Amino acid sequence: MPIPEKDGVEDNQEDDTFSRLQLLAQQRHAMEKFWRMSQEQIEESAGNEELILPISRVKNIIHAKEGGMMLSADTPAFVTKLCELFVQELILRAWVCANSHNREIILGTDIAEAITTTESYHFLANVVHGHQALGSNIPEIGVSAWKRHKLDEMTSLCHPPQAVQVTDLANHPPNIPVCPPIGQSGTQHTTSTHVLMMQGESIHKASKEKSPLKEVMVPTNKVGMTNSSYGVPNGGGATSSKVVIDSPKGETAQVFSSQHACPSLEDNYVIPIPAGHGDSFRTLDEANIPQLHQEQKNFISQDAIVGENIPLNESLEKSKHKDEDLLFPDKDLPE
Amino acid sequence: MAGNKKRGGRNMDQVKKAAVRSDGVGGSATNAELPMANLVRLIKKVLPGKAKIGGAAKGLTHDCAVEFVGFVGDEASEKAKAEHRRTVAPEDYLGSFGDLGFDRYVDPMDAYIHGYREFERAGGNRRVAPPPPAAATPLTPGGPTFTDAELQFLRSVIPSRSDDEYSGSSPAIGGYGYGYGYGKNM
Repeated sequence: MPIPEKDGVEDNQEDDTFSRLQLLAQQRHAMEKFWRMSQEQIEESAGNEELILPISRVKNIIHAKEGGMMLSADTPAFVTKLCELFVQELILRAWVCANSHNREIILGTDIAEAITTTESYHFLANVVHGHQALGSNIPEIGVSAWKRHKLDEMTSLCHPPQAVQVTDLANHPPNIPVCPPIGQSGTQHTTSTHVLMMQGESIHKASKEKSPLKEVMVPTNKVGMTNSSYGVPNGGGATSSKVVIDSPKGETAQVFSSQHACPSLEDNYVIPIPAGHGDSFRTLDEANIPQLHQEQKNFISQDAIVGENIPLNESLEKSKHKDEDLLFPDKDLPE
Repeated sequence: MAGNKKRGGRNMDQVKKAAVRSDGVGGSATNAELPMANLVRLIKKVLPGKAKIGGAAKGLTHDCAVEFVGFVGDEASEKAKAEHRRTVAPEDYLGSFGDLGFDRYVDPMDAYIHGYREFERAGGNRRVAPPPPAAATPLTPGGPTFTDAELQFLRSVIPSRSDDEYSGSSPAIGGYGYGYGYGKNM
């Protein structure tokens, strides 16, 4: 192949032929010098030379490329040294190409040119094509069909499933954020349960608060109902009649207390402390004041009297209440 | 200068893309890459000081080196399989150089592997000094010690009466007294 190319070039332009021959001569000279120096270097070191490239990395590359074959103990070091010589030879040829173009910076085009001019480097055509695809300005290279076919087989040995696995691994990270929302919802649920507990407690408190009010308000409610049923003028009359009854006769006063016997007994049993009973009455009195004018005063006086009597004669009232319960049929007769 | 900086940036982008592509091809299991710093140091070892290397040239050289290792390794493994062996040895690589057109590599690599094996056989840098000199040392003090013991034993075995008389006649000698005590103990 190279011979007919040279003939063609000779027919067309002798200058190009001369420059190419000069380039090849320079390369050969540089290579002779390089191989001589490397041979001497290796013989002098006698295997004790330190390698610049890491052996472990080269070993990984060998395993990634070959697959299942095992390597002898001295193969990784051997291949590392081999790779070093190859890189140095390649870059030295590229340096000669750069010099032929009057440059001191080695570019990708120089390496591509070195690959083109060396027949044993044609297996690197795929690598150069890859870099061309990335966008670098490297001219195309003509390679024999057989070697290209072999290179295609090598490229076919790539691992698409691994790429798929990589995408699968990429899919996993989106699943991770799902966990925190679950935790948050859990915390919200716990807070909601706390809220429910608080509500329950409040309900219990309300029930507790309401029960003493109901118990205390039983006698006062009765009084209030009687007032409302009679009306304003009737209510006044009723109050006046009560006052009259209380003031002249002590027995009538006892009867008045006997009318409240049942609720009072209930109150006594439910609430053992009389002080609280008194306090509740006072609050009710205060509430009644703004509602009525003259009647308010009368109510206050009556309540005060009742309050004074109850603590003084607690034991007596209790005994009387019991007697009255025994005298149940007598109550029916007066009614 | 600005243009050069921009070009440098582009080259770096290309190098990164090449690295990503090589990672994809090689797979996530094994990182089939060489450290760029070591590669550049290796390159500058054979070039004059004034020479410079562009970013794209570094990336291209790296990919060529990886491709070369795979290419030569594939030939060597095929040669080993042809001989029904599961282990690839440097001889397989040396045999494949002729087929691949790398005849110039045979002589230096053959010299290297011979030197490497001799170096490994000698023990390399990790092993300790050879044992023979250490073994020779204890032989020297062993002789006289044994001789002294033998002499004492012979003296103790000799008839006891003469020993007793001699010790009685001259008790001043401390050394002999010690020997006498030793005899009694025995």
